[in-house]
Amino acid sequence: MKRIVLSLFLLALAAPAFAAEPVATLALGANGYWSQGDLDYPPDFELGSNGAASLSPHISAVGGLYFGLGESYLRGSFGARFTATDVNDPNFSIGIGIQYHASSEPDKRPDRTWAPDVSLGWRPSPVNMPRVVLIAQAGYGLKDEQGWLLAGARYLLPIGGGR
Amino acid sequence: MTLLDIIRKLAGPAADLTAFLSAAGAKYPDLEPRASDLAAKLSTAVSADSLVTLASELPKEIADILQGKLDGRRHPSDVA
Repeated sequence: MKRIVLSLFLLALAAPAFAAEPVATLALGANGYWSQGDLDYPPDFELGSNGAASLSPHISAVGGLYFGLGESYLRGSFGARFTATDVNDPNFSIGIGIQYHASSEPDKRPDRTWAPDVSLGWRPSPVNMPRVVLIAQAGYGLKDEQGWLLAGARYLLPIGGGR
Repeated sequence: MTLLDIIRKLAGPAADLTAFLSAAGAKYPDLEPRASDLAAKLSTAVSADSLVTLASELPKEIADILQGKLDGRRHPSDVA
């Protein structure tokens, strides 16, 4: 599985070069980040960006890099996501997948571990705000069994068909 | 680790996300109908039937990708 994820990610990097149509998406993002068991208030807010390449109707390579404002950490992830809802709906989708996570603060965020996740994306106003997507995601690290939940907004940058 | 193992381990995160949507709906009543709708869609998406259907689609798509046949879509959840 890890080899497949890595292969998909490497293919995603090269995808725009030989894709028949644009598949890449780049987005700026802001999150509230909840650690496991604490859903009352976000213990930290994050700013960063996400990249994704949809390679087939259900399979995408995804990644992200975020900075935690409160606890001053940097975390990154990359992996594969499989869309489990209507693949032709550009305004709503739910994806399941697995990503490799690394963090500058291993005691605060998943570090050097694979982590399954469930992600939800919803474009609340496709006509008036076509580049704005609201997201929520939950997952947990396989190595440290550290869970998390994040919710936030994304602004899709006008490149690679990311509308 | 197989795809089946990953699917098994997704139960916890799916439950966490459902709980989050319920909590958001309870805290902000104006959002409750939307939160309930999203929770219902989430429940359907991670149901066994849905995941079996998804898993059956993947081998062909992986083969297509490895052959360079790309057929991308726009998924809002890809940027989560």
